[in-house]
Amino acid sequence: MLAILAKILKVLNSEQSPGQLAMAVSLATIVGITPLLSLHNLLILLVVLWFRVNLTIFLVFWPLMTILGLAIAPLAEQLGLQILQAPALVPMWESFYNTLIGRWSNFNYSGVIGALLIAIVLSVVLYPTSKYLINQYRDKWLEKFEQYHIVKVLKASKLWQLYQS
Amino acid sequence: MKIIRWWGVITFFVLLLILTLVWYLLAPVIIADSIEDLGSEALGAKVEVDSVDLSLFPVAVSLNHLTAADPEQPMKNLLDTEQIKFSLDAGALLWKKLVIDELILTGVKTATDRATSGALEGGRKTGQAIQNAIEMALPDMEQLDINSVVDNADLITLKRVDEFKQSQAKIKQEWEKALDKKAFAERTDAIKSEYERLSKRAKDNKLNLIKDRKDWKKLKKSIDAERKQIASLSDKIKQDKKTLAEQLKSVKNGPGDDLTAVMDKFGLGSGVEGLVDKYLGPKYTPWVMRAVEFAKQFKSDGSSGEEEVEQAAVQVGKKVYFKDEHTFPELLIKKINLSGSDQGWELDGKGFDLGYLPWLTGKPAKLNIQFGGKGDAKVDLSSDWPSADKMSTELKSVVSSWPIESMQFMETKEGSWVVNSGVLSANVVGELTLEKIDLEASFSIQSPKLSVPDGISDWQKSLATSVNQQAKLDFKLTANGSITEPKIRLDSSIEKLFQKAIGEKVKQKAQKLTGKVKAAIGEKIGDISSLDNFTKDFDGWDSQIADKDALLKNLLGKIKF
Repeated sequence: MLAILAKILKVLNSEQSPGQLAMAVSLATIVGITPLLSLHNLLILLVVLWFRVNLTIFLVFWPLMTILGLAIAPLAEQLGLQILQAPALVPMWESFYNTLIGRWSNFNYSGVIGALLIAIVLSVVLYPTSKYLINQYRDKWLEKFEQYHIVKVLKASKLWQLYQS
Repeated sequence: MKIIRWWGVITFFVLLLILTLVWYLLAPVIIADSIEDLGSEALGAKVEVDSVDLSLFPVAVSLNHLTAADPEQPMKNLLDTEQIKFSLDAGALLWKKLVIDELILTGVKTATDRATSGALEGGRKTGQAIQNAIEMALPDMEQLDINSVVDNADLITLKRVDEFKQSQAKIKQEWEKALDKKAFAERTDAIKSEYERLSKRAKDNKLNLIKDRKDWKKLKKSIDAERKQIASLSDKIKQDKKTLAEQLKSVKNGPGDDLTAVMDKFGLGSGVEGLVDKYLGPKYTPWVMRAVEFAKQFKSDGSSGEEEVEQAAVQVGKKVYFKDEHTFPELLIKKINLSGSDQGWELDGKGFDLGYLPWLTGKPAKLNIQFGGKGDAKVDLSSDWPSADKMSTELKSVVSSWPIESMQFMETKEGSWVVNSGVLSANVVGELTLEKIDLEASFSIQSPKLSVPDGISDWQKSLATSVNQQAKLDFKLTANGSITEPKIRLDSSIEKLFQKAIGEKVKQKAQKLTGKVKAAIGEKIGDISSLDNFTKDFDGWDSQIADKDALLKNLLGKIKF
């Protein structure tokens, strides 16, 4: 737990742009909430590695979002089933299902499409929110935060030294 | 600041390569495990594969030494193959479909011995294996404590009486609500007083007839509505009466059903005449029941295949099928070649167009197997699925003059009854659809020589001796009727041998026992004749409705508008 906190603090205090960190939160949300073995997650992994998305934040948020994904799985399945069976959308799904990408995307599984939709909405909301919070932290809270006893203890620990090096 | 991380791209492709290599190395193990798990679950006994060879260019799979244990004899294999080899259509794989041009099974053997038991530990994950071993013993009728057996029996009649009384009370409650004196009478009185008011006004002045025309119309409308409600109540009376009458019929049949159930506990459920069903049934009817269960499973799941929903893994959710433009099934085996031999027999078989989902193959699936050697045998199976809700499977099988060396005749608690020599002839013809089954299987064994287990009783020994003295044994198994309620019947020339072996005295004792059990059941159930009076309430409700209807009809007749 302390290691995770130290990692997050280190990244937050670094000079990495808030956009890079917010994008990591956003993309970790999609990978975490949707079933891992899905085609779109391969694409997201490529984006994460290709572009300078912060890997530490991505790797920290991924398991957290996976837990959230498991918790909301029944809701996602219900939502997915409704989307897949909505009469107005059936022709679109039908033509998508008959493409190679459509066949491998697993979007015809209620849990995949439902979770993806929830994840996209969450990630769209989380990107500006986390960017704003990071900016707020760096501008206003950083000094106050460093006065906290736990932060001082953490900074004095070997663990922090290890991450600083 | 650079936004692209080139080492990241390289890492991605290296990771992808590693994943592919790991999959390629693990795929044979995964395939073998999947076949073993799914096969064992479907069969109800161990399915094992020694090794799997996988090649990517072209995509081909070889399953080496696949064995499937016999669920009824776990130390024997139902199927033992040296190798199963097939190549997959790469184009179809791109569409996540398995299309096999030719599946070759070589070194096929049946009934081979196993070194270890093929029984599944703890049984099947779903469902239970069919119990074949039966207790072939007649009760000592002198020592039976009939009263205690009947007292402890969970009699169906008593349950049915309770259900009948509950339905009766529920119906009574509904009727008391529907014919609630206050509301029912109040509505009638209101109509009556409105009629009297309007009539009086019309009597006083004829012109009021024109003035009150709206009120007259309204009155007529409410009479019509009331009569319509009465008509529907009248229908309900008929329906409720019918429901209770049917339930009463079932109550009256209860003592008979209870008698059969209690006599079953003594091994005489269908009387002495039902012994062939009891002793030979478990050996010869389970495969019919499996065919019926198979058809039932498709009947409940079958649908058009478009927008069909199927439960998949947790989190992935349900799979929704959309109209597939690639109209071949998810699994299609275009051709199967079977070959094998063992001591005294050889096998040659061919199969065509076997697929899942079967209605997507567009052609009937066919399987033709021929056995040669000591005798001749032929199995022809054809299954046609013109659509998801229509299926016709035909089976024709002929065995002519096949010398028997060891054939299990039946299984009792003491052990197996085995025919050690004889000549088998069989003819099986049948048709199975999603609605009905029509199957006739006749078997005959000429010059049977039976070996029996130790520890059997005298009448069983007498039965075995009689069997051994027969020139020919005949069995006829018929299964027909609907899939939901199939009627399976086994007739055999052994019937008489059973009766002879049991003896006339035992038969008489069995009849006496039946009488005593019947009396004990009657005593426990008590008098149920009072239930016949259920129609009394209906008569009362009926006359109440009829009176009101007559009154309203009379008023309606008097209205001039």
